[in-house]
Amino acid sequence: MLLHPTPRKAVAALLAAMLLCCTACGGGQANSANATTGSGLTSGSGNLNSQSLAMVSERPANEQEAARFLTQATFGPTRAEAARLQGMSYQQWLNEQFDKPLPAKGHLAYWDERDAAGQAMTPKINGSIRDVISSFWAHAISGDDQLRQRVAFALSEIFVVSMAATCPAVNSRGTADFLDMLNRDAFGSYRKLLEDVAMHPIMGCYLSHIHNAKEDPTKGRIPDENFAREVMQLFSIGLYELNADGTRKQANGADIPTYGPSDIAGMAKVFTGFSWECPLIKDDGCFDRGVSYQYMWSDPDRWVTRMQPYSRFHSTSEKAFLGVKIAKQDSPDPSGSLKFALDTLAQHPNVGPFIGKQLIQRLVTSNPSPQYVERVSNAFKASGGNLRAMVYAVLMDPEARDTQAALTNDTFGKVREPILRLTALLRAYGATSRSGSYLISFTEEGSSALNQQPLYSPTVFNFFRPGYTPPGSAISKAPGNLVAPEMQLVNETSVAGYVNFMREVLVIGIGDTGYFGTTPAPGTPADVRLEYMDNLQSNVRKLSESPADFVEDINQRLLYGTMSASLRKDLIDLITPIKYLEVDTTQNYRIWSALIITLASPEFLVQR
Amino acid sequence: MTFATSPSRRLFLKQASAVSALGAAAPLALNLAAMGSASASGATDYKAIVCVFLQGGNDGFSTVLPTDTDSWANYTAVRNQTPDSIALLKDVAASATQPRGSPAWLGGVLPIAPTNNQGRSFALHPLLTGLRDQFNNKQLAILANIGTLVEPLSKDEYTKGTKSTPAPLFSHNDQSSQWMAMAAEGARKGWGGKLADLIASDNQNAAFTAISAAGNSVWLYGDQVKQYHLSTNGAIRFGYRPDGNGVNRLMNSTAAVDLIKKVATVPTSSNLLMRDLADVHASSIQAEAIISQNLPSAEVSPFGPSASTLNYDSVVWGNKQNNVLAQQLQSVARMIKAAPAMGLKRQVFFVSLGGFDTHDQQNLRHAELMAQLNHALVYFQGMVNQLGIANQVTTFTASDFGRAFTSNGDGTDHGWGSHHFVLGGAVKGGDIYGTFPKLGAKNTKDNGFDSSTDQLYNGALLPKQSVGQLGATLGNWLKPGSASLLADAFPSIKNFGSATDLGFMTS
Repeated sequence: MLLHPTPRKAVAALLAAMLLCCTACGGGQANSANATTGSGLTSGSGNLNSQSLAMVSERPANEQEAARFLTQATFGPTRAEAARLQGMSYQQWLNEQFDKPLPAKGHLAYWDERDAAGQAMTPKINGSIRDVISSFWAHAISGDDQLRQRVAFALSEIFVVSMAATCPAVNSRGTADFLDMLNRDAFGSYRKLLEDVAMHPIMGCYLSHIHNAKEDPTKGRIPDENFAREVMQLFSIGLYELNADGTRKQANGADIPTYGPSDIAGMAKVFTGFSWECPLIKDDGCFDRGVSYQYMWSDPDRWVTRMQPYSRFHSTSEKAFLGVKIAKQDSPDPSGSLKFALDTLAQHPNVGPFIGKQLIQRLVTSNPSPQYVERVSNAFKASGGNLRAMVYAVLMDPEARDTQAALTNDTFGKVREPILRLTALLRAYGATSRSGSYLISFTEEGSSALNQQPLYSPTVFNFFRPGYTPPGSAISKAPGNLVAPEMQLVNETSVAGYVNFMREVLVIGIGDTGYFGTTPAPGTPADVRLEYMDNLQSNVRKLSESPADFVEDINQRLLYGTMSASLRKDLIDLITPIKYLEVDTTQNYRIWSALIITLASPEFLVQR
Repeated sequence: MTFATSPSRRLFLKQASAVSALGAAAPLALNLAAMGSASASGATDYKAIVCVFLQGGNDGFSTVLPTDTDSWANYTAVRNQTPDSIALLKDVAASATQPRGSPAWLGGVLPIAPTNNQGRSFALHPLLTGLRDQFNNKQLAILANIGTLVEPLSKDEYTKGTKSTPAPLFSHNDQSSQWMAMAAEGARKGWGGKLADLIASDNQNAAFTAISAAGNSVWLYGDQVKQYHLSTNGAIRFGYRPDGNGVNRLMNSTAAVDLIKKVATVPTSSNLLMRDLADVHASSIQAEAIISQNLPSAEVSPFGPSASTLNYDSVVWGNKQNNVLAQQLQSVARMIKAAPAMGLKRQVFFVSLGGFDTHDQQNLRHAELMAQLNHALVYFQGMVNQLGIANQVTTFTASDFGRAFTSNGDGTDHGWGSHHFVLGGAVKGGDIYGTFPKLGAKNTKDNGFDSSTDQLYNGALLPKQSVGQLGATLGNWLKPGSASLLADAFPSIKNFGSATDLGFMTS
């Protein structure tokens, strides 16, 4: 079962394929630069583990490998997609995904559509954070651009804005656009993503650099340092100088900080003098509140339009940070300061390992080897800082693709975060939305739901930290300072709340039963239903009459073929005696019982 | 797979292996049986400490204020910037016509008169009326300028970098971790957990020694003790529910109940993440069975009725709102009430309130948080008093860091030292512990604050008392006579000479 019968290519061929992709997605012409870049990449990868690289196969050997790949690259495999992938190479699949256009209806369009529908109701219902959340689920469950959506979700956990805070919640239309922006930039240049993040008005209000005024040295007022700090700590370079493999550089046996308080102070001056767009007039009212004093007018798109420079509020004094400086400006140049600062950050050698390691953690495994991180860093560097190249390297790395090694390594993998557990179930079992809008909304409560809700992190430090290790755990006591970020959401309350929540999803589906705020007719089903609920001829229902086949089907749908012998036997033994007078009822209880226990099993909860 | 095993852990691990025959029940049983069996020291009374963590870095400068002439003048000058002055006022009445949360709307700060006034005068934030009363009643003490420290250091030593500091300073996640665990993010043991290690043997159910009613907290993990998480809805049942006869069923089946317990708690692989999840599942399932039998209803006195007891006067909304911090403290109080029935003599608790990172809109946001903090602590102490154990529960506040003294126009940036509260009948209240820093004037040309030896750049406080000293003081109260153990739990306190007890607790 774990043999690799398909042909595989040598290291050089694999890397060449990777580079073709990078160049193509970077928008560059296919020319001799490829070869140059290619040699740079291979020669820079001193720690390439050629033995494990040789294990990478060009295409999945079987359904298990296909489904496992899709577990990393999407919101969850379906049997159909796993079958399709078996007829192509990983690279073909990835290129197909990289080249997919943006969804016809993005998150902002979804929000506007829901808002318009609400405006037509009596009483009117405004678009709200629910519409951002539901749009997330709609794309995660049913989008055909799965890789883009999946990577954008990962990016939303690095470049965090949260509707748990007032501004992104009250201005949720802007937050929908922020998520669209992550979609747009997911496979583009990191430098562009960084600037789009920095200049998005929702980030501006979330980290308080919108309408941030220059210092007043006489009175002692300083620029707000919030964004200046977090753009370095969280969005680009992190706290310590890194080697390409993600390990910390050392000087005299100590870590080397990337920045100190004076760098923060210098960087904070860069992010002064940016505020809401006021297309008609940019007076001080526009800067302060996004509303012109003169006309009491504000741009209806002010929460989706990139922040604009207001020169007179931009600091002109010298801005020193990270060993470079922007000289004192005779006339304020906010755009010039911004470009210099973001170029400095984007070109910092930490970006590849810092962002790359987190992307590995979000998609593949909590504890990548330094060699894996280095290969991803090098691919990113060779591509000139392209996220498509980074994503490709993350997913096509031998450490990600070697199924046998992954399944036999006690520390490989990651705990599935709760959102991904639900998407995996809903996709595997053909969930559809009665309204077409996937009206799933609040899931943040730990004692009765998922303990997680998209774009709803408690702080800018995400739901969980990349460096979190659960104290007192086996993983924390293993050698190598291992981490398990998603375990930050796991405790006695949330594990039970999750099982109760999933039990209801399996039985009645999930989602609102009517338009928000309206009372549905009694008996109205949940909006999102699994296929077996409404289709009495579904394969799943038929299979449940043959317990061994049904359990094997679960194994393929939810566990990419890794179900243990003991779980298999336990499930078969549990459901075989279930027999009600009505066939439908027998089917229901077999399906519900086997699935809830699978969903509660550590085998499902850990993605390997 | 091999694990690092320190000599001091061998006895414990031996006990652990002795109970591993219990199979699925091992993780919690390990706590219950192995640690409970050592219950020889036999505390006869009940004691608990409660950490109230203010996430984001509370602005101590506007929480406890020196009102003597120079400090007040400097506070007013530094904090009064455009567009919003964030300098609180004194000796003025509240003005309802002013913007909500603004200093004028709040009215003047609340004067307090500490027993030892250090030759100065002090006040509290205008919305801390209940805490002012507790201070006057000598149930509340103030710890001046406390923070994360490795060793004492002067401003000059800090500037020159000649002494160790708890790096990285000013970073939220790392300084939170330094407060709770004396190490940066990724720490594996906190001092609440280390104290819990010392007291676990006093409890019959040692698994309930360290309890979080907020999120996962490293503060509650020691060498042996692990955090147990208690939701504000009590302990949550693991998927199954009782039928009409009180028999647990899952999908209408008792066999499914047995199987979900087995599958969730017995790892089928040696993968460490699977093992760790199985451990949490086992703890959840076994603890729920115990707690659900013992936890009193939230709706009875003194905890409820929740519809009224959990509400505070919201500054933002102008009406009553549910207080999430009060809700957590309600769970703590219910657990304390259940302690005797569960054989618990010593506990540590963790609760938290988010939102203290007031970079902008500080007037409104900080006022809202002060209202919540005031309501929650008064509500909690009221419950403790009514349970008749005022002298046996001690509550203290903690936070990532203090904030900068300077204003960024409508908010404040990251600092270091801050002022904190300790509340309870065993506290020598009505006083300020530690020298209260003098607030200096900024330099003419920069924000260096050369006029103050307590203030760094942007006026951030250089702490003069350490979190370790706070922990050791609470440890001395929780487990008297364990000085050597405390020295082990707080390795840095040796750097503070003989001042290992800050003196704010009665013995």
